[in-house]
Amino acid sequence: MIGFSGVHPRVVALTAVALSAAFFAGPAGAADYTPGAIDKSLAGTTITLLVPPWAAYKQALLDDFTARTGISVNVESIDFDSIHDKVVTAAASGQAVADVIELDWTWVSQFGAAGWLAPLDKLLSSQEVADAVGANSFVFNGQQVGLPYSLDFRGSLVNMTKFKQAGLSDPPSTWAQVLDDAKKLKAAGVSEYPIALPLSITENTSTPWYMLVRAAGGEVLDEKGQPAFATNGLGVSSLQFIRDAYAAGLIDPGAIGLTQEQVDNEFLGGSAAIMLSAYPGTVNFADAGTKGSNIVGNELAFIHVPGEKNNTGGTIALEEALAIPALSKNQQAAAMYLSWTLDPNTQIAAYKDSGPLPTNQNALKALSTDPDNKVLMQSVLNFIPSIEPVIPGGPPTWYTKFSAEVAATIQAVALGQVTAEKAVDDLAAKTKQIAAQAN
Amino acid sequence: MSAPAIAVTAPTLPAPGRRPADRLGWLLVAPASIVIVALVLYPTAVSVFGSFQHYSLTDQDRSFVGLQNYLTVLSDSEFQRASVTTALYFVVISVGVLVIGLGMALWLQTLRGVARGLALGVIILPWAVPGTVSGLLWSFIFTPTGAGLLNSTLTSLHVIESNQAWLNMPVLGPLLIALTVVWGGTPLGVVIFLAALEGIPRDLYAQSLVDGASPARQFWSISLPLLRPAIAIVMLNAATLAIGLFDQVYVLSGIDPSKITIAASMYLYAFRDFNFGLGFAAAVVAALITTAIAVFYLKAVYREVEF
Repeated sequence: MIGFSGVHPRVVALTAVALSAAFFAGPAGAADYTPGAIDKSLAGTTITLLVPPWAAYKQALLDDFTARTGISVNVESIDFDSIHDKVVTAAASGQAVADVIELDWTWVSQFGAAGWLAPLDKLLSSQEVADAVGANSFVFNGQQVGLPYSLDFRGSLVNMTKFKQAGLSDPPSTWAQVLDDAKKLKAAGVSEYPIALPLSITENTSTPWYMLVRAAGGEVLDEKGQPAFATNGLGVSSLQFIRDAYAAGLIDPGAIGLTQEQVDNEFLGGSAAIMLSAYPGTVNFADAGTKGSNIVGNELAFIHVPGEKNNTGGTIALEEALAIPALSKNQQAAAMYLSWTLDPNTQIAAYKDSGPLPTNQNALKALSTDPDNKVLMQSVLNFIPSIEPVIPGGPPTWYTKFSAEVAATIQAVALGQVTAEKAVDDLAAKTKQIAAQAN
Repeated sequence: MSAPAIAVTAPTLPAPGRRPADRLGWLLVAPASIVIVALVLYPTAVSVFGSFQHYSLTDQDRSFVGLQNYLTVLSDSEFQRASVTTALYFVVISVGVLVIGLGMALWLQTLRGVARGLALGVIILPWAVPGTVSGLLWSFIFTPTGAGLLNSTLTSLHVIESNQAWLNMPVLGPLLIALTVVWGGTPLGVVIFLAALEGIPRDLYAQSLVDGASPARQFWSISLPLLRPAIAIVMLNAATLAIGLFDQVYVLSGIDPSKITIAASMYLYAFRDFNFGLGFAAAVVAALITTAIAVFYLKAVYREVEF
């Protein structure tokens, strides 16, 4: 018989009481917690953050949070790709890796389906969610599971100084114009490889293609996860455009092995004249890296990504959010950190400190009057009404596998290993197969 | 008067396992045993058990599915492609580590004193570099722009006219990745071969000289046969390097399907697709392949050597 013989009954009773208390207590919190409030109701708590370097605010800024709330913050900053694996490893073993974690838009469905994310609806105010641009990309099963802190969508960055050197007065608005302009830039000796576009087998190659399809007025996947790119004709025409640009020597041949950062540097270094699918924060003149770049003093334009026949589809949201693991013991304190992060003053201070582009619309409006950021922020504000999730209804759980297939397909087409038509047929079949296996 | 009786009694020995020396023996092996059970046997058991389950992180179903995960993995074109790529890495890494390692060990044997110590120190250095760091270092060399060391060097020597994306070339790409592994894996081979060469009695060579053996004949008839245990160990190490290859591939080429290995497939099944059942099955397949290679090497290459 298995029993507690030999153990003092008082020890057994005390252990049982302690275990029961721990079980029923749940996450630590204050009874008077008010969603959206930044106050001292949770003073004395310590929270941990697992975020990429750009979301790890400098200590002086974090000290402001601690001064206002009495909550201490321990930041673990690691590279973006490692965060995903660290969260998965911890959550699969029943642990919260931190109280606040990075949440990319591509992870929402997987983390949501696994039940790893705490619903934020009762932890944050509805106004905070409404103020955050692109918050609808972080909804799973009708619940808000992340709050975007970094505004990320795609437009085209055009170096008008270089365009004018080649006799071009306006930025392009169609794919055909992009090819024509790039050929003129190359012929005039202004730029050897005028178009900056990543073609390596990474997510950074897939997203520009999604953007091209959206700019032409279509979707890559429909709400049911079916390959819309195969039926709207835009899959073939957008891939053919990439192939034409690569074959004509308008894109650096090395792009098939370049990281996003290296492609950014082609534009910032002045060797490329148009970055087709650019993060608006690529050029942040508050940032030391941009201040030291070769394009300082150049006339830049941030425009809607050219479409097949002008941009008719707006842009895609590729934002990053902060989320709270469902297993976190400090969910209220973590939510207070999210509220503080979304505060316009915090976002402006972070942006001026080389941080991410703000998601709070009031912060963006305030920055649009700043002489250093005026032009970019006014462009950004113009984009906001057209920012929509990449996939209507959110990414499916098998999105990451699909994305890898997309990137491999784009590279194969660019290199001429397969025609755009066959590539689209194969990708459509593969997409259906991946979806069927996952379901 | 009768003689006094002498009682003869057998000495009382503690039962086996209760002797002080036995207890000390158990105590000494206990830490290693605990580590092996916790970090090898338990994970192996979990992996094998999990490979027969539906084990997705996105649902709670953990039902027994028999061999379904194995059938899925083995019929998956991505896994098949990764297996072929791993086989290529295996051949290149095995040959590279074996030939270069033995060549360097033979060269080191000709050196004496400080020169040998210095050369050995330099040769061993890559061994101390972790795979991820090694991948990053080599990425600076293979960068497909003018900033890449290989491109800039070959351009300045007029060997190439434009920058090349070396790692994206169909055969050369995987070959270059394999060479980065050879670079990091060879030092261990050198050390093993050097130790084995030093263990061969000098008088064997002296006697063969009397018989008129050339250096080549000495190598083929004395060194090589007596190096068989070392060759088996080095080849087995190269095999585990190839089959477990992940970090350099991931850093240098990401998730390029033409370069990923079986180990990378395991990672993708588990961490990208959230399907631990398939990940476990792929891991068990890899373990079986490694075991088969190890058994083959031990049977076909390894020989006990006595001098």
